Amino acid sequence: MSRFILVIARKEFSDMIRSKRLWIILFILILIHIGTYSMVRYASVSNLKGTRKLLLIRGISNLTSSIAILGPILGIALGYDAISGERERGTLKLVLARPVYRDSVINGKALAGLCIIVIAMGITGLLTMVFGVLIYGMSLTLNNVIRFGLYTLLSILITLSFYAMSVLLSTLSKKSSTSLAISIMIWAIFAFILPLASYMIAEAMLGPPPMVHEPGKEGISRQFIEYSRRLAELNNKIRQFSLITHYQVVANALMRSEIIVKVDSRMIRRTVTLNEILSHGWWHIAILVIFTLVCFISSYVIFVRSEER
Amino acid sequence: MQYVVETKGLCKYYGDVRAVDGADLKVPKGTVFGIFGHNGAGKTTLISILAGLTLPTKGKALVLGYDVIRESVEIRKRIGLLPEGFGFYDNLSALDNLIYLAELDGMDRNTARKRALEVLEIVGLKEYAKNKVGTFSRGMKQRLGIAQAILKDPDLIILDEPTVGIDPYGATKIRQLIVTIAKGGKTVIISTHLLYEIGQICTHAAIMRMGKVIMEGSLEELTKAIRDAYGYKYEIEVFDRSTLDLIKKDIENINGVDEIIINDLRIVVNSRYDIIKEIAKVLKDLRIEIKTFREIPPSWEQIYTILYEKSGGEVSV
Repeated sequence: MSRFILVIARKEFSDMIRSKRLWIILFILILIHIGTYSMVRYASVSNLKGTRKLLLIRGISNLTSSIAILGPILGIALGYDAISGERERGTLKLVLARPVYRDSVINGKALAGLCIIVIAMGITGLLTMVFGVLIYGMSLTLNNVIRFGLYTLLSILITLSFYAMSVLLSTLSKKSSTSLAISIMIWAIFAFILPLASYMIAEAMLGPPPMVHEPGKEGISRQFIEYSRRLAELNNKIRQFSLITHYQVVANALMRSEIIVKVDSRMIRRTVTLNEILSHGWWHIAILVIFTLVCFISSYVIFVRSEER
Repeated sequence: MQYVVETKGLCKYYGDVRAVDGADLKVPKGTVFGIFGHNGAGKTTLISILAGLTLPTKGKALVLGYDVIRESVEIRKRIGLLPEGFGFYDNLSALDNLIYLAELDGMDRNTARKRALEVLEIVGLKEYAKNKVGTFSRGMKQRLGIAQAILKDPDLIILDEPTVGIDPYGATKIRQLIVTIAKGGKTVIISTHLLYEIGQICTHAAIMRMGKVIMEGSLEELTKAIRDAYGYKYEIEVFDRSTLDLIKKDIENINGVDEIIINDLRIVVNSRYDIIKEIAKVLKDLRIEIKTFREIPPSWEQIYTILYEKSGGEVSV
């Protein structure tokens, strides 16, 4: 590895670790964990039928959702001004006026980003495991440790994919404000707009629903059941355009030990083993990995081929 | 003569815009070389090519004997650049900024720190070494910019508009600094759109217009070329007004005299040729006591105006 990559990575790492953005996001993540802890503690003492399980599931959902929302925000916060910020400040010219290859600059930044994300998500993953042991009464079996390890890796991956995307946008943009705005827009589409709009899009594609009850017959009509099944299927497909959905599917499966599978053309939720999660969820992980690599490679190629005027 | 920069037919096009359009330039070693031109004349693009930040569209350029296309890293190992619109990391101290940049120049951390302190002393910022750059004035940042350019003690220092946007006092300080650096035997190239700066600190200059170098050489050569093409001017100042007509009458007979203007106690002579010896002889023969007799060299404004008009441009200096 070039010495310059390490010099740049060290400086970037030091900048990131001192940045307020990182600590604010980590603070929020820790707050969410503490909040979840309080909720689950209530669940553990609750004797109301069904309440305990419901609150436990909500607790787990809270944790995976908080990473699904804040992980990408952390990635964007670290990457949106990686290149454009240096251009705006005029520091890039000073760096490139030295015997440094352009690829060392982007590789150094990527290395620093990766280290920070691994540390931040590592801390979060560790917190989740500690809560799992202390609150959920989870035993520290090898299977559970692997499960939490995979969950942490997955959290790193979702954060890294948004980091890579924002670095790409910062390579393409002249202004950091532009790359930030586009990154936030994409995040909002993946996190909120697509899940909300997916039913609307699916309905528009399938046309208006049939009548719920056939005239003169009791119960829900066959056409309506079939329509609902197709609507749910299409809705799921549309949601898979979002990176966050891919993360959540695998993260929830890992944390709840449950997966939604298709049995006799019906989607059912059932308990699964780690092997099953990986064999069913590998392609979700593959999409996150491919997206991250494509963004990084594109940033690299664009930056290395560009010139400073 | 040894040249540190040689370009031949150098071009850089951005779409239809010809930022540099066939520039031929030779920068002699050990000179303070000024590149002058209006905004948009192509100075910054030319400097970016020479510093290896931008590739030329066509043409050839050698810097310290290295080709700008194939050996730009070798060039960047040996030159110091103060680019236009540069900036520092405001959240870091001046010292930390310089240590980082020195490490990127290839120094280990200890050497980088030692050298950073040395250059901070040279530019007069040692007492601010630990202050964050964000608190620095524009002039201080510019001096820090020069400090980073001399970190690796380069043979060639390129400064793009080093005094732009600085108050007159700060600009004077920077010009003094450039002269001090140049006295150490370094070659310094400065680009500027301030004509008086050329006369104050440069030994050589090139004038650019629309991406082309329309004239280059030592200041003496440039001045002589203008004199040869557009004439000489002399001024004689006397103590006694009654002697003016005598002097005028004798000078009128010298071959090449175009015009004699009398103004108060002064006579200004415009001539096609260098007639300084002939005028001196006239004054000696007349035995008239004179206050001053001197040649008035063309000002940089005049040189630029003449060259710019000659190259087809409109002048608005």
